[in-house]
Amino acid sequence: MGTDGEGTVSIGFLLVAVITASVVEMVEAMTIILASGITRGWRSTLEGTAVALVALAAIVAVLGPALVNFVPIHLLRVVVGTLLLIFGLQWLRKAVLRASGYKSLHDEAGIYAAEVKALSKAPAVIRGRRDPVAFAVSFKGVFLEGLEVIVIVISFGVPAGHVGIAAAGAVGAALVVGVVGLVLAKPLAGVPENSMKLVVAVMLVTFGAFWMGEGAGIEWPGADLFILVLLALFSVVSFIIIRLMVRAKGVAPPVART
Amino acid sequence: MKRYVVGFGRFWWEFFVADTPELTVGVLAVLGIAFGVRSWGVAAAVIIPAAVVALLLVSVQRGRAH
Repeated sequence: MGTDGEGTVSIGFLLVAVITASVVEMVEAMTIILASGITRGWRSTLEGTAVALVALAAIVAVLGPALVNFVPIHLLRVVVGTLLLIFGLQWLRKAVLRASGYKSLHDEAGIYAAEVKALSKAPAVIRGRRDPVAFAVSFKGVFLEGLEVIVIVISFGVPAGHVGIAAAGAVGAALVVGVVGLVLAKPLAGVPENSMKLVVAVMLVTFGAFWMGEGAGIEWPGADLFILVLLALFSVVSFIIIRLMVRAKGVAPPVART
Repeated sequence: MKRYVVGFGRFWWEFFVADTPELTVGVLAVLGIAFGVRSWGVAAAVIIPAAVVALLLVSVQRGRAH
């Protein structure tokens, strides 16, 4: 991955992308955990959360070393770059549509209220028994949101040779959000999720395009430093698209807070 | 067994394709272009990002229309 200086650029971006993605996904998972815990009880909710976290850790533990040790780096960059580009463009498309008012913003408070309402309707369980609804809801919420982080951790970490750093960044961010969420015991609606998702999406697309091209054999001018060029390009393009769409719609852009 | 395989496949389809098949097909096309232009030097470094931008525009336009 180039010289030490260039490698530092990659590690810096890697950490920013992984930590930001982890915060965004963990905030979404916390909303589900809180709704389930407060409505159905904490024991089964936390059991479902723990099992999901173990499953996610197992995926990283098995997949990370297997990819590093058995898949040639060029093939790895092609596959990971392609997946990252697909994933990143999906996020960026959604973020652009949200920022320009063509799709409703992600609203944690609204999602929390809907989850609480739905969970309240499920049949109650006998006190002391495991609540399958709380277990399933929290497991599914944590696993699905966490899987997106796993894809990002593996996609960013493995080709760069820093899967440990990427995983540590994601776990650290998830722990902070988890502790804050449980202490506050309410959805973290103040976190600027939509803006953060836009930033992560641009980074996913940047790294996806870079690694896919590198894996295919393209020699980027300036090696790893070309990541900065791609990042600037995709940032500017996304900004212009949002401005043009907002202007075309003829309404004020949604508040960038969430 | 078949049910689990179908469910597994459907899960990953939803995860990576879902309602944006144009992005999956488009990225695979960009990958093909990348292999085709890999020896073009700086031109390749222009073509690939441009193709990604074009793909984003198409997908956003599709999302906007829906």
